[in-house]
Amino acid sequence: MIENLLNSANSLTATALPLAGFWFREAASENAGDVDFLFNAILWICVFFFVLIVAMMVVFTARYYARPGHSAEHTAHHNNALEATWSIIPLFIVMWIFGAGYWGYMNLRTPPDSAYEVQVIGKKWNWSFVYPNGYIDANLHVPIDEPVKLVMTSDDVIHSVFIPAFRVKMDVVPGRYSKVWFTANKMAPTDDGSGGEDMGGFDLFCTEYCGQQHSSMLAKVIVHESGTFQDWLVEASNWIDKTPPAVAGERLYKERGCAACHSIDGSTKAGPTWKGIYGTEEPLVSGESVTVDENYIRESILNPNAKVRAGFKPVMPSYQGQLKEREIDAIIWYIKSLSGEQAPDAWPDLPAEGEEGGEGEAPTDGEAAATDV
Amino acid sequence: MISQSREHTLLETIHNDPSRRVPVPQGPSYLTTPGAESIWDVVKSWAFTLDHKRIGVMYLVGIMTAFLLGGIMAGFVRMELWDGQPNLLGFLANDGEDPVTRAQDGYNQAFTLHGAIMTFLFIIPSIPGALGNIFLPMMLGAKDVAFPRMNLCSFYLWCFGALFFVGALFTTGLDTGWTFYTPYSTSTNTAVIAATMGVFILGFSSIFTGLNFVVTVNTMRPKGMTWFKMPLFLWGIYSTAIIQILATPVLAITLLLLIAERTLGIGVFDPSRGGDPVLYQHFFWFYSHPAVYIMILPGMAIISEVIPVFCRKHIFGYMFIAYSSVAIALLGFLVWGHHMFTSTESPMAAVIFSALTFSVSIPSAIKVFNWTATMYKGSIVLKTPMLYALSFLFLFTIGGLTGLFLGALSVDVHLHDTYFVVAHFHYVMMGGTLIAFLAGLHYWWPKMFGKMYNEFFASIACLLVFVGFNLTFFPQFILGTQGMPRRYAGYEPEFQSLHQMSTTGFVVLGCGLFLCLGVLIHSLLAGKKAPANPWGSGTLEWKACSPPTHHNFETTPWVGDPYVYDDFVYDPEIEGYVEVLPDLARGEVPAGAESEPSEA
Amino acid sequence: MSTATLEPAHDAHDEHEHHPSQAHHFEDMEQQFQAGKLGMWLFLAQEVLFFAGLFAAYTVYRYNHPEVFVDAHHHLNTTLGAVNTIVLLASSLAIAWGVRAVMRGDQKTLIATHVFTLGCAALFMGVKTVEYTHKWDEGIYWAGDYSHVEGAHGGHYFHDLLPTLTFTSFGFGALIAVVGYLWIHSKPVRGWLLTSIGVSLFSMGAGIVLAKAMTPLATEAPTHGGGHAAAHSQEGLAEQGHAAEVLDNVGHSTGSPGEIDPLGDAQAAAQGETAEHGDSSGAGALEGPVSDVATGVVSPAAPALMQGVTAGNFFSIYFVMTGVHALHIIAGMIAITWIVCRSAAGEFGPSYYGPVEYVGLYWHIVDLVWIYLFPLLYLIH
Repeated sequence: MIENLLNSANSLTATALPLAGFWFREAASENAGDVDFLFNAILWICVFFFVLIVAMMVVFTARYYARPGHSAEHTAHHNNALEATWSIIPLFIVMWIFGAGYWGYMNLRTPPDSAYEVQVIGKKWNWSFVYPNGYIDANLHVPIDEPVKLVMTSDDVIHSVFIPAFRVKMDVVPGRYSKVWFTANKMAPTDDGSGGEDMGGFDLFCTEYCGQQHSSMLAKVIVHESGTFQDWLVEASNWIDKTPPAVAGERLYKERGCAACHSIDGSTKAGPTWKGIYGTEEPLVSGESVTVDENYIRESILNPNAKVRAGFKPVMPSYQGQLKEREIDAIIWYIKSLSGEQAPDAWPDLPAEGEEGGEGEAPTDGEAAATDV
Repeated sequence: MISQSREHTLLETIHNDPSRRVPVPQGPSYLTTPGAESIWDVVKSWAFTLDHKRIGVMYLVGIMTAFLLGGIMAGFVRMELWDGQPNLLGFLANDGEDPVTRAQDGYNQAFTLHGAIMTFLFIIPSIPGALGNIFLPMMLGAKDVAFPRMNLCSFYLWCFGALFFVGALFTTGLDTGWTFYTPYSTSTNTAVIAATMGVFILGFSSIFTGLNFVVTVNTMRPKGMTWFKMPLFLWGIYSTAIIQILATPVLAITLLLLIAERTLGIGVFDPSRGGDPVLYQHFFWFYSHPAVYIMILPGMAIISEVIPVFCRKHIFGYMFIAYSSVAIALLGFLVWGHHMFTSTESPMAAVIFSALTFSVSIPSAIKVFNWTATMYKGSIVLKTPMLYALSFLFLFTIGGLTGLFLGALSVDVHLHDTYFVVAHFHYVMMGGTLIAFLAGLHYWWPKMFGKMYNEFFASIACLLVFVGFNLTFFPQFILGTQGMPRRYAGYEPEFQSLHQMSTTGFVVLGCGLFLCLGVLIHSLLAGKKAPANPWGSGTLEWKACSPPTHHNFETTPWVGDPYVYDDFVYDPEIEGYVEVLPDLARGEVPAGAESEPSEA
Repeated sequence: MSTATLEPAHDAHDEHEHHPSQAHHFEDMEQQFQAGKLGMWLFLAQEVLFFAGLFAAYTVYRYNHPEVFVDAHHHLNTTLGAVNTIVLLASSLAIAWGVRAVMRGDQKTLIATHVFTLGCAALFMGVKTVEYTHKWDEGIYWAGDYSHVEGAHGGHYFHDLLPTLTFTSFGFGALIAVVGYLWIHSKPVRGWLLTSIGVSLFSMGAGIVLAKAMTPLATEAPTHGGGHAAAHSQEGLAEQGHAAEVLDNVGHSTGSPGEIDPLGDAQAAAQGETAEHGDSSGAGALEGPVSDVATGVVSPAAPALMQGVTAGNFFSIYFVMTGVHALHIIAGMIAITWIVCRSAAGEFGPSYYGPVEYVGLYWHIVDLVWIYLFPLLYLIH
């Protein structure tokens, strides 16, 4: 504790506040300006009334404090004109505030028809952003100066998407779709657009309390310069083909929520660790046991609660339809590599353009065709 | 106008003619147990007492304990937030091996218990349960509340509910947030059922208290005390009681449904069974928004008592303050949806709720202006209760005004569920209710226990609380606008300095509160004996001796205007105020009789 | 019984003798009576708000799933509901008569009407017992445990317990009532207490017999060997009703063949019960997103607004509402028994009858709630 205090005291001087503006982060969306304007208007109204009341308090106290030779004077006990004044003037002021807030809110709740649509799935404790071509990313990428609509639902409990730089927020509720939209008009300050580890971007928070790792349910919003977004999307969608299987598996592990419950260092979280489990024989809740092989891993991803390991609760959501065959294979390779198996440097059977192969497994029944959303 | 000469004349009058002093009946204090032969007898007489004052004192001890517990939890929360890494509260966690997730779990437990304990065990019962119980009947010149047994039952229900909470605390804890939002609350494996049962029971404690107060005020007013001659404290408590009776049962049924959802899976709030999780929020806030008025109205009521007494001046705009209490109580039922502007409720609903929300701001503003106007041309005595009252004006103004940001739809979208909200409701609940509670506690302390506290140290404590409070919560407004979400165990580095200010403020605030406690305890042990009326107040409870006898009054005292102080004079011999009887033989009339506070 | 009538005196109140039932902190009996009455009315206001929460839940649920409500309420027996309504109305009439009797100082009528009210209340509970057990045998529970199979023959477990219950309550009830009745002259309070308990037990048995006589026995319908739920109209309705809310084509996971009426339940069962294990809110019921391997198109799980909705949802509301109401009936019976005992002790008369009136008011509100419940649950169109 003491060490912490000392450390942070040192860091306090070292890190200046990288915050633009005293109240707000820099606005980066088209509607944000209206919100900031209204906020500032209310702020000045409040400052005025606050100063008025506190000044009266202080002046009265200074002038009329009890002292020898001074006593209270009788004044009227009530004054209807005065009461009416200080009821009606604030009433008009708050009516104006209400009207301005209403107008801004209606803009926030009414996405334009032409908006580019991204689907959002909230899950304890990560986000999946599903692009129209089916590509899923853990961060939100949007084109600049183009309205973007998020259509959101949750897999478990209520979450909430909050992007402070855009001044938007909307809950993500299981069992229904909620919508939020914005038009990003600035690049994120530290965004180099290259992807990778430190891609910068605007913060995206979960603001509806959703359990243990609520404070880790973060993502970045990366704004792409005009004209580059589609190229990025095509590139991003095919990333797995160009990535060695185990490396791809590691990225999926980090980005798609596996890391929330499965460790790779042997420690136990909500789910069993992946370290060194490939090929072992593990007891199940049902009392039987199972060999952790490709088939068991695949089944655990698609139908997690069919064979639950002893000592764990059946809490894993199914990834049926949310991971493609190749992605499942990549995860299997990654788990194998954690047990010391040698993973290949490239997909051994990379098919010709436009086909999907995998390990020669036929698509399962549960996966029917679907076109763009 | 009271001139110097008038005071002088009054003082001469009571010295020359003691019969002109309004006599203060004397008797054994309610704190003593006549005829007790052993400590066991004393314990029994307290445990089965039907005396509203003793019940109030027991409430006081209970809520103070709850406040301490909630404060410890707040300390855990602020400690964890000193730096952005979750690393301290692992010892509170249920499961998980990884230190970070353990600390996150512990943090969730800490803020949940802080919120739940402070809300349900402390703030809601604080002023009505402790101060209201003791002084509401006395202000009416009554011997007791209408239903003394039910009153005792309320207190024991409070204890029983508190037991459930402590049970939850020491078993698996609770990590849902004090709001118990579904579906998280129906899927987490912490002690949700125990805690909700606790809240359910506490709810009935609250209902019975409110019911008792409404009946007492309605049927037991003394002769001559019309509705508009009641002290404003009674108006505030009366409005609060109406909310307690009408809103709390909705919470009770909501929690019952939540328990049924968890145990049987009835599906009302469960989306996978066709239920609606947002319906839970509607149900919950239908109680819990009125509940924030249960919290603040009694606080405002205390301020309405304290300010005129320490300004030696009639309260300004009595009718408006009285009516605004009732208006707040009734309008408070119509604004619950403003907690849900971003929870996918329809834009139509949001707009209506926003409009209604602004309508509540007007009565609150009226009160603040009237209190300020009362100070005009007064004779302001800066004793500790008045210092707290002035702190209240300062803090509640900030708390109320920041409500305007949150009522405005488009701005609320950005601010909802951030630290701005946390700061706002702490400014209202703590800067409002708690500060008012402390004002009332210091104001009535001599009457409750018959001892004066050390004025100097009590003022220092007030100053520390005021400074510490602002240092704790003002930075949180900025954190909120910058986008720091609530209920986060960790945060990004750019928020750190503001969080550290906040934590530092918490330490100052804690010192102030402990100093305050120390001063009060010291007064019990070694304080000077209090006079019957140390501040020169005009309400009836000061016409009894300090501390009062078991039955408060021998005969119902004469009722006048509670805010006229012309007949009170400070007598240095007893270090308190004396009321002077009018010389009826010479055709004088009592001071309160000529000034009707009513508009009629 | 002290019949000292008291003139309400508003002034000097220390001179005259106090009524033995007057509390020390009241000025006079009139004030005490008014205080109690206001207190009771406020308590009833609180009760109304308590039930209002349930009515709100009912309204929202019915609005969201009208077809489920209409379909499910056919499982309720309107005749039994009507009988219960009449029984409660009669009891309300009796208790009002009792309050009038005590104002006139008529002890006999006071006690008789209250015992009659107790009988009606117990009869009501007996009928409810049959209704509940009948449903549980059919597998009609709240949503979480709903396992009713349309056309299949229900179990007999609860049904087989009924005769035992009936004979027990008849036997014990008659015995206790007779013993109590013999005691009435020597020990009135104890005698009337036992009589009240005996009459209650006996009436409960009578209620069971009456209800069984009115309900058709569970017919030995031939079981459809695994009749497909898909053919069941309810699901079809649900599909139409909510098709608009679903953005993509939802592939219903074919968890298990439609042995079970609700389509969501099979999945819930497959997942392991959610309520106890802290499972993540049955998200598994959201399964059935579709992915096209060829194009890599994945659509997220569809919202579950229409999945997992069963007649069990209606019965969740039904059981909670009628259950909470039944608890109020039981509380009322205890209060009425208390009134009977105090009446037997001769404590009430024209000058002091507050508690009789308060309990009467409470009983009327319990009755009133049922008057609303009956059409809302039994008479849906």
